[in-house]
Amino acid sequence: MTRAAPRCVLALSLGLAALCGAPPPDAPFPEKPGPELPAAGADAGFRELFRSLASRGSVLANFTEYRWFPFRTAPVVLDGEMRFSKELGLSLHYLRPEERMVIADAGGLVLRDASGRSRAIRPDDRTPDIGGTLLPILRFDEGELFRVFHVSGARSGGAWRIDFVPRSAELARWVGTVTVEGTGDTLSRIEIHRSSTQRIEIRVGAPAPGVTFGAADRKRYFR
Amino acid sequence: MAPHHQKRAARLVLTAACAAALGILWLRDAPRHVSTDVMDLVPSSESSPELALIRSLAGDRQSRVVMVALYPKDATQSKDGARLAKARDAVLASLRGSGAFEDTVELTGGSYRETLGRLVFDRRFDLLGPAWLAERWGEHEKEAPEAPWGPWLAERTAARLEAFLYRPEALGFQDLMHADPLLLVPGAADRLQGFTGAADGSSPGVLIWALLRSSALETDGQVAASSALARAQLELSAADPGIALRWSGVVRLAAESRRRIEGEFSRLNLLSLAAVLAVVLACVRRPVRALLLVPVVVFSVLGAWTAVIAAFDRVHVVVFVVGSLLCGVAIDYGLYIFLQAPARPGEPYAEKVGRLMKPLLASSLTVVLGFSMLLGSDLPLVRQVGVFVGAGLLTALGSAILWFAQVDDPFLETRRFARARPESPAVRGAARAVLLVAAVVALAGPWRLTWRDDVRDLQVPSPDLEANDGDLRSRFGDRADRMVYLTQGATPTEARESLERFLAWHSRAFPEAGVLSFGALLPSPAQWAALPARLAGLDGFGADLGAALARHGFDRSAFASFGDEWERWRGGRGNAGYDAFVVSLGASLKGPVALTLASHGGACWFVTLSDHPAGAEPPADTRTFSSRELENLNGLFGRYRMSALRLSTLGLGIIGLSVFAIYGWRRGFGIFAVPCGSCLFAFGLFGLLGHPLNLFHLLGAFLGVCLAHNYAIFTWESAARGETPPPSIRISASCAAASFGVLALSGIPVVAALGSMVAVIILTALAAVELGPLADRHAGLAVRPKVD
Repeated sequence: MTRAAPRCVLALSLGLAALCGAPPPDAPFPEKPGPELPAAGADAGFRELFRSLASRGSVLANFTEYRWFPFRTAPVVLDGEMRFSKELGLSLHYLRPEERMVIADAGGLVLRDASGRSRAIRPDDRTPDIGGTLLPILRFDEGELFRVFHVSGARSGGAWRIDFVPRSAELARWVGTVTVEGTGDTLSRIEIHRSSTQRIEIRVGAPAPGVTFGAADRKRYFR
Repeated sequence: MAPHHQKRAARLVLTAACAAALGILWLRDAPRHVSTDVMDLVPSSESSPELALIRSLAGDRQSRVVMVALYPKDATQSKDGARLAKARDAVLASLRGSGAFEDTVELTGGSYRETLGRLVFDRRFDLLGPAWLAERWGEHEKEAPEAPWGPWLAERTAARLEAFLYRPEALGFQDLMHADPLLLVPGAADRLQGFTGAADGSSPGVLIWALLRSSALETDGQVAASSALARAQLELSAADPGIALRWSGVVRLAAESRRRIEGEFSRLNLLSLAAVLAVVLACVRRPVRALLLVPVVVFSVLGAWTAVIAAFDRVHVVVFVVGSLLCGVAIDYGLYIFLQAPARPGEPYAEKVGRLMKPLLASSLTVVLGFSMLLGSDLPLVRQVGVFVGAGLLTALGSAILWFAQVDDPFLETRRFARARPESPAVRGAARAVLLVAAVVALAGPWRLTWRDDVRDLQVPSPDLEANDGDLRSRFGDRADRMVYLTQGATPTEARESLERFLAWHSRAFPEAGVLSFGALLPSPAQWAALPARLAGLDGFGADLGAALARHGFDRSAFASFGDEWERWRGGRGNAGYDAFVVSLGASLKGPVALTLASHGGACWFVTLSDHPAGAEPPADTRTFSSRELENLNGLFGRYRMSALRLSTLGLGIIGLSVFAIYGWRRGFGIFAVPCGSCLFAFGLFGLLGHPLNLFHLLGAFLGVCLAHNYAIFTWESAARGETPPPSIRISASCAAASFGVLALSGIPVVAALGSMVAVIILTALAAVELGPLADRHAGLAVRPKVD
């Protein structure tokens, strides 16, 4: 009844945007998933890409989120700014159409409204630990990713896409397929795809360089 | 009457009385009338709402809940889901196959959440629709009263739905929205979250919630539960010895309480008898002959049992535990007769008894009269103690007279120390000092008294089981800092209206604390009553909504099923009554949420949970009580205590008047001062010690006063005849003090309270009748009587 898990999907789908860099809207990303990568480091090209993405520091960037619903003729669009830190987790600060914040970290989810009132949703053992499962994608934690997901990769010139399909059927039912696209060492687009009519696409603006989060930022934007 | 005729008649009467008593006990099937249900201690007609709630809780599903937790014995394997799933399946199959439970629900899986969600979804129009329509109607009246209701509502609905899509929660409900564009279920989901199992995921393992078929307070239910759980434990051990099973529930605590009370009953009665016999044997010259006193005690207890079983349908076992005090009291009359030396050699028994009859009757009848006042109490326990003690004392008197009528040489000589009366200036000074200190305590101490009643004091504490229960409750999401409120009414309508008032009060009293209440999800009676009028203007709402949805960018065809369901509900709901709706909803609830709403037997109540520490209690018009009050019933028992105090005071007044009538004002005052002063001293002592008193201290004080009054009468009677007070007073008081001292060791707090109070009063009274004459030996004696 209580849909904490799908809310995690939202938070983490947006969280994946933390990995994105400047998006080339018309970049020639591969259209289809590539072959499955058997294990971490098995493909030298992707091994370097993973290491490059994993070594990135904190991120602050604008993002635009598109949500497709099966009963809508067009997606709904939300704008905001997101912050990501390996230690603090992900904070999505929606600014339009209304101000709201979603924070995803190791402790679960926090929903915070414009007035600052927070509501924590702690993970439990009643639903798959989607937060704990998908957060490795944000960190590009190679070992954990290959343990939890079937990972496949495709390249087209400098552009690439990586598809993550949960190994657990239960998790797959909640999450579907997570697709990450980028060029070079920047992520451009993330899609969480449950079905052709239920998906979320996130495009992220250029990340601010050399970001660190001070005490005030931590207090305001994280748990 | 010739001695041999006298003996034969006495034996005949005793035998007939015993046979009659045993016959009554057999015919009444005595064990069937003995109860360990704490609710049998309070009146079935009690009209106080908190007790009605307790009675309802005890008799309802709440008391039949059993909590079971499974977890790996090795904590490092807590994430091993496959093992836990296998263990869960084994235990669930065992519990379900036992036939002891009518419902078993696993809370840690998603199935219960989905079951509850499905129920709310299926009944969303009835359950959530009226409040939703009332809110929208309020907006309509405020914002656009001139706009047609149906089209306005359709537009508002579509706009709300579109706005919702931007919220984080939207993704979680997207599979439901086509059937619930009114957003009824998302609005209720957060309010239901606390009902779906453990409060957090910090407790690894599996939690199973089960509901017993039989009452947890009856032996059958207790045996069924413990057998089923023992079998489940065995099957779990066979399936996976690495998984531990813990369980708890009212049924387990009640079974343990019953076992302990029954143990107390045997232990205290035996100890009491042994203590009394030890005192007597130590004080008499021919100890073997002292065993002749035992039948008097046995007859007395038999008489008390018979009277109380014949008079009451349900008698709580605590009455019998308290009844063990009779060993110390009933021996009084036997001692007084048996230890009384003949006035002259060869004095016939009838003459001896005739000589002693006045003090015997004066003491026993006034005590019985006093205890008969307790029959006026509202509390069955107090009435039962009144009958038990009154009947026991009358039987003790009658059987003592009859028993020694058929004993050869009914005189037992005491040892020298039992008759010793030291006299010296040092003793006099010490006696005066002691009496002075006692007077100070009696005058100063009572002002420091505090009173606290707790219904839980009627049970024998089981620390291990209570710790286990606390652990299980915490695994199931219960927390010590969470307040539980129960709101009641004679009907669902009344209860829901009371709940509305309570929630309004709570939001003012605890503005920062949220509440969890399934009752709050229900429409109010006013919203339900207004529903036909709200729906009347919604002809064609389905079409209006489709058009509005299309205008807001929705695919209207996706909502076709909603339109059909809406029209079916609108057309089919008729004029269903609110009470019938709540009753039917309550019957369809399963699992823990079913415990938050009850409606049957002419009463209805709702449970509300709130995360804040104890604070202000709800006002009376909310008809709501916190679990804190319900757990101890201090308020209710405080009222009973006042009632018992009034009756005790009345009884004491009657005793006093009887004493004054029999002995005149002067001697009567001397006699009456002993029990009253002893009682004041006992209250003073407890007050100075800072020990809170309860209803049972009060009952003990009344009993102590009655006994102390016996010693005063016997002392003055002897003095009136110019005799030294007989040793039987000392021995009798020592027996009673030993008997009640044993009770003071009881593991049942209220029994210990009663025992300690009576023991203190008796010892004080004994000290008074002993020290008074010593202290005033040469000055006319305040206590020493002057023979008229």
